[in-house]
Amino acid sequence: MSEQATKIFGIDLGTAYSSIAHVDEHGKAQVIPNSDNQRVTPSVVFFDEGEIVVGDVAKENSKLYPNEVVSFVKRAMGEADFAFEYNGESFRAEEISSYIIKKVVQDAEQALNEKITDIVITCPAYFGINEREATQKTGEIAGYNVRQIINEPTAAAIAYGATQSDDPRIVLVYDLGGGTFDITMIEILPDSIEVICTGGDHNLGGKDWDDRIVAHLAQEFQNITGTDMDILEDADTCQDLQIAAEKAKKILGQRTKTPVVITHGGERVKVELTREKFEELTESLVERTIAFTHEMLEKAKEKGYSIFDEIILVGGATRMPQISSRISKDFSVTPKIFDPDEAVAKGAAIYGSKLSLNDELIKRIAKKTNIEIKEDSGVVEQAKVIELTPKKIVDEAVQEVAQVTGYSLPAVEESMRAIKDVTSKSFGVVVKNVGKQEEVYNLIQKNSHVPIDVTKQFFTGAELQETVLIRIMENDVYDQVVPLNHATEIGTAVLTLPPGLPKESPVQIFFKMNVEGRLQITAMESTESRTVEAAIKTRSVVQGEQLEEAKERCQSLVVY
Amino acid sequence: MTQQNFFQLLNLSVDPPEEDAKIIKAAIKKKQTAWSRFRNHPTKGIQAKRFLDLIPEIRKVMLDPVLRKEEARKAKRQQHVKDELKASEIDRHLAIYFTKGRVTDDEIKKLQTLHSVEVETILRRVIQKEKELASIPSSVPGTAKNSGTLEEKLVAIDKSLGIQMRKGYITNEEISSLAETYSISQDEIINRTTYPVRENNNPTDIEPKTIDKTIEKVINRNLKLLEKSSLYEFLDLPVNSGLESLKNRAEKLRAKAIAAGQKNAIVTASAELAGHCSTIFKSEKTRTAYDVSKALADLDALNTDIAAAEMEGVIRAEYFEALHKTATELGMGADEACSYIEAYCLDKNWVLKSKQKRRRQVRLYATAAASVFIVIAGTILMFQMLKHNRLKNEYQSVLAHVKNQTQLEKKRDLLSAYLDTHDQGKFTDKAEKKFERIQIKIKKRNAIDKRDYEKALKQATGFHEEKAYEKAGVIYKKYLKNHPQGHHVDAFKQKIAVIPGLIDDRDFQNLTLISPQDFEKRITAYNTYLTNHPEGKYRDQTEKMISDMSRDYYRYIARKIKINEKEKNWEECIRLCDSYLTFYKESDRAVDIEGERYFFQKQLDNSQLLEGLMQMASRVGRNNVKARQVYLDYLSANPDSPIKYEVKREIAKLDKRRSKYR
Ligand SMILES: Nc1ncnc2c1ncn2[C@@H]1O[C@H](COP(=O)(O)OP(=O)(O)O)[C@@H](O)[C@H]1O
Repeated sequence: MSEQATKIFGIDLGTAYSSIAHVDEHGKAQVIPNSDNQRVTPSVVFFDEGEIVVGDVAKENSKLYPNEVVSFVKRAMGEADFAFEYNGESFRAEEISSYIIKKVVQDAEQALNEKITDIVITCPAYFGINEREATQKTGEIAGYNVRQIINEPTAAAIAYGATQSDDPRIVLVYDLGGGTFDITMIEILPDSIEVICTGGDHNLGGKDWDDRIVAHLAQEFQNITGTDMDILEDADTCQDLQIAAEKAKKILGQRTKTPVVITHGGERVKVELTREKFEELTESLVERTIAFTHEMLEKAKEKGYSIFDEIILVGGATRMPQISSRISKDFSVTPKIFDPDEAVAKGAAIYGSKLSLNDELIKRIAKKTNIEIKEDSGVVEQAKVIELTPKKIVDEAVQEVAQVTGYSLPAVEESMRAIKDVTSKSFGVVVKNVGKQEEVYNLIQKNSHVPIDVTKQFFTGAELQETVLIRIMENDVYDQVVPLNHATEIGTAVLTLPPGLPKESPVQIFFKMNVEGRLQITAMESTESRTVEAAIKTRSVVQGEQLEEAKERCQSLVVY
Repeated sequence: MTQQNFFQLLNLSVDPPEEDAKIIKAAIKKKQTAWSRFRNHPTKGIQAKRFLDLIPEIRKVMLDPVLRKEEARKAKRQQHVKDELKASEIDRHLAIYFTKGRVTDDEIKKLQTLHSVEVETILRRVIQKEKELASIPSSVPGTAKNSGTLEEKLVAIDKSLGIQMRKGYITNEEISSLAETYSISQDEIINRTTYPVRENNNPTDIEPKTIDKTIEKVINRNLKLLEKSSLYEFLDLPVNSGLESLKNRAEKLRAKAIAAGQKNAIVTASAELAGHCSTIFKSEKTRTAYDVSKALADLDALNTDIAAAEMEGVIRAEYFEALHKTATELGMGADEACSYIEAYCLDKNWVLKSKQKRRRQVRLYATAAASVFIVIAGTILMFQMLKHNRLKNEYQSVLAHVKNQTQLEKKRDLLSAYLDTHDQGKFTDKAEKKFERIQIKIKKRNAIDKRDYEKALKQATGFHEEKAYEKAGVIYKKYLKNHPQGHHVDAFKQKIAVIPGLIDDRDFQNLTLISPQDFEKRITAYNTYLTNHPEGKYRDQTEKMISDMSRDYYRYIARKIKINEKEKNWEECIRLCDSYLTFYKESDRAVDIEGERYFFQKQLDNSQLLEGLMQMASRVGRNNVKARQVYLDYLSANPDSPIKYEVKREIAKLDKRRSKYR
């Protein structure tokens, strides 16, 4: 790799496991093993007397020191009031997650013997603005340039697309990870990968399957010993059972039964867990994923996509046999299990390499054509530039980039494949309707392609109104108008109006969403064209001083 | 939903209310930490999440003097209610004891452990109870079942049926007994229930299937969070609803919960419950299991009462009446209540001292009153039911017809005819709704049809321009498959019909584009055309083109053969001959070429023979003597071999090398 092009790594920051990948010198995406030579690292953080331990060791220790260990922190991402206390200090989900990133990056640096500066992080398609922002901050706290946040199913589709022929086709990506479930329809075309529709549940993942086993084990303990105490009140036992439950779950994918030993308060109880029981306990969870899938397919139909060619399964939890068989039953296709643990990280790495190759290409084209191109121009503008440049010049630039980076020509050409995503939420502002009732008016609708620009004119409500309060709302509804209590506020702005305006003076609101799903909002009053930018700033995401402190703290911490 | 009081949630003093902001903040912080820790607990996680969601609200209320005062007032009131609730339970148990006139010390001790309260609390209740008993005359038990409105009776019947379900079914006997008690026809009761009905109780029955205990707990935890008592209440549907409507409602609630878009505990609990509904209301079997579990859970109240009444293995006769009352309130019949309590005591090895006489009296009384009621109310009800049944039957037969139709338009027309011919009523309302739904479906389908058609047309036109007719055909067929009754089926069928002709034209045209010098390509292409288009329009023309080039092709082949012959490239020579022979088997020159082919084949065989021999010789190693022997052996075995000269030459080569290294 040449010195000019910055290498960008892909990180799958998972609820249960995380991993990092890069595109190697042969143009192939590879997951980089951690210091224990494992390809995935448990997303578990152990606060060990001033040191931070991440991964398998932390997970093992959770049984011994349940109060010093944090697992499944991704579920609390973007939650304002989640606070983990240790030694009198309080840590937010972003900060704890940043240790996980630091760990996987450090290990990768060691394995490859090179410095890592730039990363792409994945998040569930279903993440809203807050959770995305929190994910971005996580990478920043860890001390890296976060080049982009991309959706996990999209990443999986990129990885999948890279292994297949160029035949156009439509795939459903069924992604069941440790804590979240996403279902996404994606169209793979020779020159682009396009997300059509997405849906899912941020609170449904492999952990819920574990939890059902844990509850069952606790119940069995009561039945066998005849006590009615809740052994899950005990933190040690609870952790122990969670780990045992996950193991049992994995074994039950291979065998029809497995013994589990529960030790609590000096009692030892052996329970035999059968696959049949396990599936009975968790059937309602599978049903929920199927219901989401049908719902998403309905929405896709409305967009004109009534069929799909295949279903691919990603995420570790899709290894449970009940998933494939349930899907085959409803959709009469046999789903393909595609690299469930690594697809997302690899896709992110391919995306990263695409970003960096694209940067190079653009730089060269700019030089050749003497056109000025903004440093930070988005992927879409870049694609436009390439489209408008004469083919000969583009070809030359491709050749040069291939030469200096050492990538093959097809790899460089592949990097020009467009990737189009959709927003998983709707966004709007609070307005008063004719009945003076407050409601949310959606400007951007769920499952619209990004980037997207929308402008809408509203009117002031009172004579001589001095200010307009703009409340920006996120929701999951397709309708234009949504009741206030069905939406979450994600930001506000105040537009000051010129004096003496009559009632019903127009105010323009601009919504601009970029490819990453980040939102920029501007409001403009028409008479004097005063404008105000609304910042998406909520207490749900660490910021300001707290952010700087967290960065500082992370820099000085040693992570193992 | 009523939410937990913040003072209680934070364990802060209510009386007097905590005022110190510092202490309050510390309390919030402490709880925040605790709840964060429980955020991912396998069973308590959802409750912890719910509390975390409340924190902004807690801060707002508890750090504002005015709001806090109001909260404190509520706290006191709620505490009061809670005490009352507990008191009512203690009272129920005290009432059992009071049937013998007073409460013993042992009994007070027992209540103390049973309810885990201070002895003073119990004593306060005892004094209160004594006062009440002094002022109110005791009521006559077991009366007035058949008075009250129809609505009330139905509620009571539902309750009773619910509790019978603990054995997994209900019996005809139970139904007729209920019918008698409430003066309602048996059919009406049967219509009301979805429970399995059997002829008789079978004492040898195995235990009925219940739902898994863990699942039951998960469900109850979520129900509790939403303050609902059962999945039926969660769905807001009567217990006798059909599986379809239960499932549909569950799906709606799930969608609604998700649409709320808020990531809070209530949403999660609703989504979870909706998931459970879809598995529990999957079949009658699973639903029955749930109903059984629910009945058994309801019985728990009675079981604790019986346990409270037991003292040193004996239940006094005075207590029996109170227990009997609890049982009938749960929905048991008078007899059934007796046998249940008896059986329970028997199982626990407790002695039940009961008064047989009283039991029978109660029953006689009930039957007498019931028969009078049948005469008055029965007739009115019958008439209404008959009419109702007729309309219902008609509606159901229309529904069946509608269901059998595959075309939406036909379905719509059937319903519309039904609506035109029937007066408005309960069933026409239903039909109207169905009609509307089908209208919407038709509209939606038409819209999709139109869009798919336009999309297909656009794609196909593109393919036509590229002359990729096969691809266009796939597009048309895809549309036909997805819209077998679409509006554009005929148009596309026509388009499909002309495709073979277009392909024929294109393929023939392509033949004329090949460079005339490229003989081999031409001849192959002509022949491919002939095989691909057995009915092609241009067959004659193509066949003529083939015969026209026969001379040229011969010359081309002959020239090529010469070159390859020189190179001893026998395989290529044979291929060239074959190529000519396949296309011009009948021509005059075919005989010559066949002769040549024979010769080349011989040459090829010989060269392969020699090669094999040489390989054998080389395999024996560097030992020249042995290699030499391989050749000599061959020659003595095949003295007339066509390759004898070549073999001899190899021997000579070996000899030459040997002399060199000697
Ligand atoms: N063989 C297996 N059988 C069943 N579940 C598995 C298996 N392997 C991994 N899992 C589960 O998959 C989940 C993790 O999947 P992963 O794709 O790594 O998700 P995430 O990226 O959210 O951590 C965990 O709940 C884990 O227990």
